Amino acid sequence: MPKGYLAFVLHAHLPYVRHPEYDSFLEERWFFEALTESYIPVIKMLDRMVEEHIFCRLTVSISPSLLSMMEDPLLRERYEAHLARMIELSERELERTRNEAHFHYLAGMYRQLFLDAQAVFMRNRGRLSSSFRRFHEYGLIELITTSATHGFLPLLASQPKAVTSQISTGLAYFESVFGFRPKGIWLPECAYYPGLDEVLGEEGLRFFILESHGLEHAGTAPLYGVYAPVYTPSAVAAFGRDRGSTKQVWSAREGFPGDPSYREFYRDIGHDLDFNYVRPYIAGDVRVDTGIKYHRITGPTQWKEPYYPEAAKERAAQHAGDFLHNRVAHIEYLSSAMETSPVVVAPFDAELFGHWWFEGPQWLDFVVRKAAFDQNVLELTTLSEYLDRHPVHQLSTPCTSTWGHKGYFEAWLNSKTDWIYPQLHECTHRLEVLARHYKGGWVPDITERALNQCLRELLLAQSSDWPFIINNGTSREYAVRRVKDHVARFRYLADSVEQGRINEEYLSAIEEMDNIFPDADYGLFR
Amino acid sequence: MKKRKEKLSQEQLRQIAWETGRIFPIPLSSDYLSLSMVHPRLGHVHWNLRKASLKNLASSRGDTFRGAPLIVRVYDVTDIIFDGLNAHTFFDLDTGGPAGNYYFGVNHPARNYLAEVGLRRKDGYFAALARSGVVYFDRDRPSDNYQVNGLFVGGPQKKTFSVENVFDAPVYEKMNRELREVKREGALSTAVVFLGDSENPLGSFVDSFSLKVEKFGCDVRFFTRPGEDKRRVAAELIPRQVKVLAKQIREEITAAHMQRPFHLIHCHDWYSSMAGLDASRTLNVPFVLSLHSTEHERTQGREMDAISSAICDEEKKGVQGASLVIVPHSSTREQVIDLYGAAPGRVVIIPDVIQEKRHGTPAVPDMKRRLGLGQDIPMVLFAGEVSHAAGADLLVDALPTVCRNHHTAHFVFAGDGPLRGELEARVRHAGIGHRCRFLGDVSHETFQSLLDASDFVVIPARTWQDEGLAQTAIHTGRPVLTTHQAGINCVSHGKNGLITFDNPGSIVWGIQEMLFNPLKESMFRLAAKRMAGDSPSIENIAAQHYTCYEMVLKGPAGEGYA
Repeated sequence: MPKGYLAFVLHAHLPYVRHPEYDSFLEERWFFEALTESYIPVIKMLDRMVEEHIFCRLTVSISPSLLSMMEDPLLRERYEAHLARMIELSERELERTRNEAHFHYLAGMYRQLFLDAQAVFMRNRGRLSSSFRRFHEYGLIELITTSATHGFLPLLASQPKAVTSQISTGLAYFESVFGFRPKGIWLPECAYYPGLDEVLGEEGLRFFILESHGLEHAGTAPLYGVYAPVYTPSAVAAFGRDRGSTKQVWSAREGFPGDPSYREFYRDIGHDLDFNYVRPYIAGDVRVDTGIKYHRITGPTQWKEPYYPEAAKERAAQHAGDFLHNRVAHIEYLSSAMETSPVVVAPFDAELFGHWWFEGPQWLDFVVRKAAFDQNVLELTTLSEYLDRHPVHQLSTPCTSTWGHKGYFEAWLNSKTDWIYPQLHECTHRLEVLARHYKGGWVPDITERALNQCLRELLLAQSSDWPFIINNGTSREYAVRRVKDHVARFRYLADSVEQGRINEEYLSAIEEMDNIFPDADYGLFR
Repeated sequence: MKKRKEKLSQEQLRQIAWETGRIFPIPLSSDYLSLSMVHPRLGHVHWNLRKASLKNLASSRGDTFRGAPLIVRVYDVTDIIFDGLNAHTFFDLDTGGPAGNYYFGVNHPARNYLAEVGLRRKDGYFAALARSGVVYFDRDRPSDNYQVNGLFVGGPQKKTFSVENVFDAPVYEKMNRELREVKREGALSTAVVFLGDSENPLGSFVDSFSLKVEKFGCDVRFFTRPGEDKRRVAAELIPRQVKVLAKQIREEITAAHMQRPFHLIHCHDWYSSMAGLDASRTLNVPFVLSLHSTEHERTQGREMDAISSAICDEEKKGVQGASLVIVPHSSTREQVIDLYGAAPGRVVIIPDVIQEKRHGTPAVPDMKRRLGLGQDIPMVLFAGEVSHAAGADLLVDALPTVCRNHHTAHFVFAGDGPLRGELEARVRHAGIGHRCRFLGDVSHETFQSLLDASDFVVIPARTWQDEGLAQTAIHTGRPVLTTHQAGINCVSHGKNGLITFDNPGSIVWGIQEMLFNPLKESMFRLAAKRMAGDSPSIENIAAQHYTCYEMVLKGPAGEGYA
């Protein structure tokens, strides 16, 4: 019997970016890069765990918008083409670096990485969701999800249907892909407000994850801090993030990813080499990352030394040992002071592992192996497995919180982004009015299609990614354009329905461009 | 989603995307006001009012609203049903027009707010045109509400019940573990037989635990002495009287079983076991016997008379016929095994003594009032000899700095000693005399009240001190600030107190730390844990009984305990 548990939660999410109206689109690379660098390496790691019979338990949240992209035939086709280009580029790199032994070796490594990604992708026939489902069935991971398009729920709460439709649509889509309903939910941006748990309880969810102060400032002070969940009045368990374990991994300055041996994210041949050389392999006329990076962090200097994968791997193993040693000591202490077994919840964005921190999947692999073989104080667990074993917890109402900057809503609601919310409010109101209007009676097929598409546009406009990107300033124009486009498309469709003049061609075009959630049902707004 | 037969070209898609993209923004079509919390101390409202609504209001009230400004009024509606007039407080925000948004500061978080947008006349009359929902601006610091109640949530929320004390978690975890495979349709039906006096402590214990066990999904039918038969009978007639009663109860159990079958019969002590054992054999259901004490214990080793021997025989019969015997402690268990030949695997210990737990704190307000302090004023207690060795002067040296930084804290010195006069003069000269109280020697009761009223205790000693004071303080739930030099081992830094060095700077740090974070959470946890450990709650006992019932039923003839 372990003295406590360590629960990794990997949250995989990307905003829905799919542009069939163009041959290639810059922002679609976000998805391709995340597939190659994060999701496929995690799949490879889990495959090794299965082959070698290593005890592994992870909670993996896949957002419905990401899942929708993973399932989309057009994006799968484009990813295949992207991989082929990357393999070609890495082969050209092998040729270009033939007189520089170390860089030549690194080019070979990248070629292998792309070939491996291709092999995993082909083995799954392009549907990576089938791998995740298999791992879930084996018990290695517990799959959960989040709201439909990662809508920032507290800022939608003034219109309850906006919240329930985000959650219901997300859960329904997850179920349609995986064939089962998740037991827990990742709240977008860990954003919670009192009352949200009631909606989650009605959907039959058992748990969600909060930022630390969401639990620490709960209505009834939690006796065990964030090291045991509390039950909300709706009997849904709220787990709190452990700052210590996440900071050690997440923080670029103090955490592991900033180690000088690790690969430097910001030195990419897409920026370093002649533009005409890399141009055929990137979309458009803008320099972008290719994923081929030859340097290590080195230190706080512009000068970057070559990357040595073996040295980095060695550091990843050391950091895994360090991480686990700290968790073991922590759990030893906690178990001496607690009546129930402590659980240290360490949630991360899945894209940290591989994309931002290239050695992340290796580190995770080492942690899982060391947890399985090098100690017997703690055990890896999934969150519902923990609740199954430890069903009694304190009753409390968690505090409004997010895991964003300063812990509340400033990153999503500020002077740069506040223009979005009246627009979302109006769209929600209009959809409610339309749904009520068409309640009960016979609805022409084309009207139903238009109303369902209205819901898709509203959900897409609600994504928390847009205000976040606008606030951060990177890709700001794209995020602004997306909000405006979805609101405008909503308006066009709502006006068409109200006027009884729906242009089938236009409707089909909008359906083709924003084809997320095929079963979206405007009836949720009745 | 239905697919169009002809696929649209990229050019067409781009054209349609461009055309539809031009109709941003969507015009706001309704009167509304939306209120959001941005931060516990920052709120945001956005609103829209249609021109027609403003015009209607103006036209319906004549000229009274001419020139009236459009404002947003934010109300504090905590714990009330808002009727438009009963808010605790409100404040107004000047708006820029019929549509817009506004950020505003909130002085008091952890309150419910609601906002309205409308016109305010010169005479102060306010006509609202749209109202937001109620929004809770949450607290920005830990709550000072400490409660130990919790929930048991089994599986996908199928079995959920409240738990009075989360420190009992191990009992419920065991129950959850043991009963994982039990899938019962409907409630577990139990006949509980107690033929003793229902008004004595054991009777009320059996009664209350039977009620509690129902919350776990157990349907209990309670069989007691028939009617109000409370006649005292001669000692020698007791066994015969019990036999008569047993026959009557057995018939009652059998009759009840015909209406709704019992899964098991649970009897308390020898006088009930006769009825239960017979009934269990007749009905072929498992029999559970609780022996709260044996006749050997009751006779305290004296030579047994005929009645005691007869009772022993009954106890033995009951023990040997039972699928499970429940005893309150290990010595009873040993007797049941050694004297009555019970299989050790079939005897379990579940306590049957409940202590009334002390809830809340004693008359703290009285003591603070006597000292002239408000109820919210932090109070720091120094107790013992007012001497150099005890470090009273170090504390007084630290106080001017502490009082400068913390404007409300008061310091109480309980005890006498060679430095008392000097220190009283020093605090007066330092201008903090009004923040200190020198009480001299106090009675034990007064000391206990002081301890209860204080936020924490300071032992700033230069030399080794007795641990008694620190132990009492910790036992009362008060953390202790002490020095390394005092050598008090029961204080654990950061858990139930802080340990500093014997110099004023270090003590200043310690007092300030404690004033800002008096370790309430960990102290409360320690106190709650101690209370939970003193004796189990009735709920805890009921949970253990329920687990036993299910274990007995796990297999034929109680294989769960075989």
